[in-house]
Amino acid sequence: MNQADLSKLVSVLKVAVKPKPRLFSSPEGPAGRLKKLSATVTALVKYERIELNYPRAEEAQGYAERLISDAIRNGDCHKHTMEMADYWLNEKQLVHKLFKVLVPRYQNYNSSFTRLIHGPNTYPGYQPGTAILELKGNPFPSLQPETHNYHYWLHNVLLEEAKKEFRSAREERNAKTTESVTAGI
Amino acid sequence: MAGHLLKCLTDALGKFEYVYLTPLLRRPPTPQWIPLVVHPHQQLIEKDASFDIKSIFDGFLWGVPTCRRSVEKRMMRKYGAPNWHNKLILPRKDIKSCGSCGHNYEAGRLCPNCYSKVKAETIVLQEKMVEELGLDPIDKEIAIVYQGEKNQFDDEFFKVYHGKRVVQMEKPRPKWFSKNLLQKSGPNSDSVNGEVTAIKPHDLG
Repeated sequence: MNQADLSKLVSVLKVAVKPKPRLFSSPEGPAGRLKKLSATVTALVKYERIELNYPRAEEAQGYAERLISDAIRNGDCHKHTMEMADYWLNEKQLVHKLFKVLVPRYQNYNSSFTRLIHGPNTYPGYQPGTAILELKGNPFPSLQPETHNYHYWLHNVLLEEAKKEFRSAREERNAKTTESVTAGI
Repeated sequence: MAGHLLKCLTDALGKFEYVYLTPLLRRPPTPQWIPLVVHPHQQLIEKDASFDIKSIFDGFLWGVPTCRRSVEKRMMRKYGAPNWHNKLILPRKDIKSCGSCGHNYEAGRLCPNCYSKVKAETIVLQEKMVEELGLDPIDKEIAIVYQGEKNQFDDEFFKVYHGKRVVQMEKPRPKWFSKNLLQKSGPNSDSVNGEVTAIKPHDLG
């Protein structure tokens, strides 16, 4: 069956969104779940880095990515996008932030706009654990340490060559000594 | 007729004993305590010629194992299975040591020691940022300037620097929060000729 190209109709997200939504039970039902998630998305846009439990973070990430992606594709004059922004962002100064700050920031991004990292756990604790959800390009100190050793760095390349030279020289010396031994015998 | 009378008498005596004498004597009445009563001919249990198997269920009959549990089943219940519910206590091999601070952390998660430092600083920055921006519409990115850093703008009231909203911090920059992490030292994709921007060591922060 030929599948139509849906990327023209709907945003293609760079994040894996689960096919079944998680049920966050609340007395208000599905509406209550959306209320909780909109609070999370609002906090993410406001603070740019939030620490929360993993299941909620993963759900909110999908909604946040979709919101930003729609804002980039459609802009603020698109009625539906503005309605969505109005619904998901409870504080209205953040609607301005979404269209005036986040859209220019993420305009040329080829990757996702958010980062979901597993935070430290205290044993025994809650099994899914803590997670940190942050917007990329935030001004805060980075969470993950920079990986310090790359093989293509100049000093590493030079060291590798030096190692090879040393080993070949040693093998030559060993070969010479064995030859002399055999010759002596 | 006589037997029936005798039976009535026995019952009456038994009741009398139970109601009046047991509270005083504190001993349960048994047929032995009534010497008048002797039934040599009547037997308590009547033996039937045929035995009905269902009579065994009149009393207590509980479930009982019918087969011996095989060793496989026993082992499964005791120890579990690796692909199922493993009941063995296995050593944790996913605990690593952090390269920068030396504390232990779970693989795939952040080092708690390093993260606590970053979290503390982030919270301070976030509070200041929220306080600074308030409820007015946000239309600019944030530039964080710590105490003692060379301010490119002289006027204190001029709060915009290179199109960014400045958030002034009253504390000095932490040693581990480098100023210049995002500028590439190699050829930039944005630059036209592929010119290389070299960053001098003192600009790294």
